[in-house]
Amino acid sequence: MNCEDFEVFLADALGGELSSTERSAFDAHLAECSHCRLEYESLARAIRAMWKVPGPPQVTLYPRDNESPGEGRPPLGRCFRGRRFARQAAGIVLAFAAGYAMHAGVGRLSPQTKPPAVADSYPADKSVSLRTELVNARRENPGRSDLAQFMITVLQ
Amino acid sequence: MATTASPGLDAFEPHTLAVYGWAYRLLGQHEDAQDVVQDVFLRWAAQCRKGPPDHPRGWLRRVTLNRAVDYARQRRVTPPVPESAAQPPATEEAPGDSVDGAALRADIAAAMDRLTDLQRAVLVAKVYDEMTFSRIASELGLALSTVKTHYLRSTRAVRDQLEPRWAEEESP
Repeated sequence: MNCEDFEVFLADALGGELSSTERSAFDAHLAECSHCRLEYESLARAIRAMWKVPGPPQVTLYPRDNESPGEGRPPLGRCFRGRRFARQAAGIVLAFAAGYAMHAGVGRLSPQTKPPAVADSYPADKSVSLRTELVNARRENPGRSDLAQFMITVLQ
Repeated sequence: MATTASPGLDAFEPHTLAVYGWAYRLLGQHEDAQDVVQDVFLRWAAQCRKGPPDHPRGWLRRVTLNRAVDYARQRRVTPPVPESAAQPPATEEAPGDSVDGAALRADIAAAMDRLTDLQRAVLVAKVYDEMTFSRIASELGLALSTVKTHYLRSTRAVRDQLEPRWAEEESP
């Protein structure tokens, strides 16, 4: 591998997508070329710095189906515990719920130090419309649901 | 009052956590990230009235990061008054960044401000969502080689932004 090849393989190397054979050749070039080594190391350092930026609080609004109530669940807030709407409207109400938890001081949400993949799992069962759930959330949490209220307003 | 959900909301809902997460990564404040979610939802609803985007997830990623960068830019122009100036100190650690964490996040947001929306989208998808280049290419409707080029350029922009900080940290 030469310096031109290094540039070709650099993105895959930084992104962890080199094959083992390519990685060996890439590392061998780094060992013999200080210019490329410095370039690679500074870019890798930038990526590691980005990983240090805390991600959003990771919360679960509902227990998994195989969990008994209260088991393995973050103490997010009394108003959400066991509520059906929290199970089914979890995705869109998350931001509202996290804010409620933080402002109410219920269950401090720890920022993460490792970069998590952005969670986007949510219940597949949406037998109750999300809109109805937002209305319920608003009714049951007056003054707490700026996101929910906004969306309800938009949809009316 | 009708209770049927809007098709736009139905399509938006699966991405809400991701939109919030992308915004939070750049802003580090729940309220600001929530504002971005609202703004993006409004734009999404307007877009859906015209017709859904070809690559919904990629569209949301680009719009969200654009708005988050706008917020970060406004914050640099008019930094918020520190809460400590107006309120007694909290008795327990509040959620949010440390001083160093906030500075690092601000540097990264400043670097992203100099990128195109596609470069930002690629960088966040790769670094924070740990997606493969081929999956990013599919999500954004780009060629694989273009994705890799965006990734390198955006990583170099962040590196260039952070180098003064590194030099400062390493100086005796």
